[in-house]
Amino acid sequence: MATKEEILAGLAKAVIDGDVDTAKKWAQAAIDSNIDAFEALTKGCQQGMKVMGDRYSAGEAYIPEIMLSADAMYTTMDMLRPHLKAKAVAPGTIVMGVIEGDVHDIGKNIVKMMLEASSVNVVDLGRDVPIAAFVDKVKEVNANAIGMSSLMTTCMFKMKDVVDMLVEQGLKPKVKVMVGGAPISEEFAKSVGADGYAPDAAEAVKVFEKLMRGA
Amino acid sequence: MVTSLERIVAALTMQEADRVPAGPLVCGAARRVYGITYDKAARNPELWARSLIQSQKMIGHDGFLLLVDLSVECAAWGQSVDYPIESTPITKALKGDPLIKTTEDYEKLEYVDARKANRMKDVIKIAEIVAKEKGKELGVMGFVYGPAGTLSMMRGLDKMSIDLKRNPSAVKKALKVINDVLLDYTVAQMEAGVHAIVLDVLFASKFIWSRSVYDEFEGQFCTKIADEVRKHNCVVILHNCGQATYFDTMIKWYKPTGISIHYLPDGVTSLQDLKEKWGKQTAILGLMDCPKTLYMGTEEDVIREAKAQIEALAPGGGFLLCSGCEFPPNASLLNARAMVEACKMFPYKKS
Repeated sequence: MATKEEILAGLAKAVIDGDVDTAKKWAQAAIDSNIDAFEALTKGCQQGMKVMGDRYSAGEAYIPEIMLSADAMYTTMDMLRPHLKAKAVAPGTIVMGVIEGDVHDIGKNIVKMMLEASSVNVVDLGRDVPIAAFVDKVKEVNANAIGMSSLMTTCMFKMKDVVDMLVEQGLKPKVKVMVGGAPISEEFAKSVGADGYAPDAAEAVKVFEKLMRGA
Repeated sequence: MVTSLERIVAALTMQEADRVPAGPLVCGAARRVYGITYDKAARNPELWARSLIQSQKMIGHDGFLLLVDLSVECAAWGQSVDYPIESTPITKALKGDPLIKTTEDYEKLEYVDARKANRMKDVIKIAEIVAKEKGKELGVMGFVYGPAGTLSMMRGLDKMSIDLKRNPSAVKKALKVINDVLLDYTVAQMEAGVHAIVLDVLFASKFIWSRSVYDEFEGQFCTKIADEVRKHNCVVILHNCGQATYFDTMIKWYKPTGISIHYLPDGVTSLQDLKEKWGKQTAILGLMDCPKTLYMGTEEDVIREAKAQIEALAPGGGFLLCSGCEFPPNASLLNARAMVEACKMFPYKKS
């Protein structure tokens, strides 16, 4: 019988290795051993995903490895979630999506994985998201933030429309806005009235945490 | 009087002509000189070619890049493509409608005739028109998206990246078929009269694939295209607008005459470092910042950035001032013109 530490470490390693079958075995072992599901999630699978996020930012892991790890993480999260004793308090809720007109979502998906690995509640609207849909969803789920991405200069300026709509509806400065994507820069973020900009997924988590602290 | 073509040839062969060639890579933006919407221009080779030629008369750049968009190649197999009215056409694989829906579908890809294929035939037509009318004085560069990029436009990069780990042989079978068709597409563009083929090898980047995955899933296939280009006495130019690109890997597989980039390559810390480390092995095309300078910046910003790049990279030849990626289709055309002006303002310094 594996110890709690061995199970958590095994879960994290299986996520790092992108090994879904082994990750499932360790998740089942956590359930069978009555390990707190929240601890298994945060110290096991999410911890593994954080390691991969750091490696990706450092240029030591690549998109195939990240995708395999995410597959393992989401599989184990699905197994562990029904065993959560109480709803964990997330550090915040963010509504995310690729701005209207653009469908390049791989960067947004990596940021989503890293936020979820940090227990952030992410509401993913997907790609080609209309301006109003961001704002409507923020109101519906009482989100703390919006995260928008774009890979195209022909679409990125629409981020300002979302910010303007938040202002018009009195939702700013309460709702923070983060933007990212290959053509996006700090200057552009400021020009559209965003509160934060992140050049990569690891930084996005830091920016979100900073915004939630009100810094 | 030095022609644009002579200017480009000189720079690519590490010589100094009268000034650095200017290549703002005006592609989708060109249609705006006629006021044609993107969706119409991208499906009408005659209009696209006329737009390229007319915009060059206005802007004054030294060469044409015959890129329409990155969904031209995948459409040859029947991948559906969305044509927004005022934005770049895009594969519907990224909108939830990929041609390759399961790993079994990789093995169903079959050879298609590039010269008759949907969209590829349009680019071949564009090449014929532009090369015939302008090829004697200006550079004409064909464009081919590499096999890995093309496959990702039929599957999605996320799913393809998982598949190449779990079902490598299926992915490779598809890549082999795609590469054979791209080879024919390359030959067709050369026969239409282009001087160079720009091969887009985006995945040779530290933020996409490792070097070994790149070798296995693109390099070993795509190298044949570069060999074929040389056999036709045309020039191999690579384009990679990803971050931290692998110059060593790209040079190993393709032996390019030039590499077009947006960001500094892997292991390079400055423009000076770039010139020192790679400037003798390949000509450099780039590195004007598309979103920051060409889209958001002023003409003065463009000239300032161009000056720094010309000073660092141009001495001794081997540099073409280009946009790091396609000139933003919605940016001010005056910024493209400012790139040309900068090349005139800062000629080679004669020693």
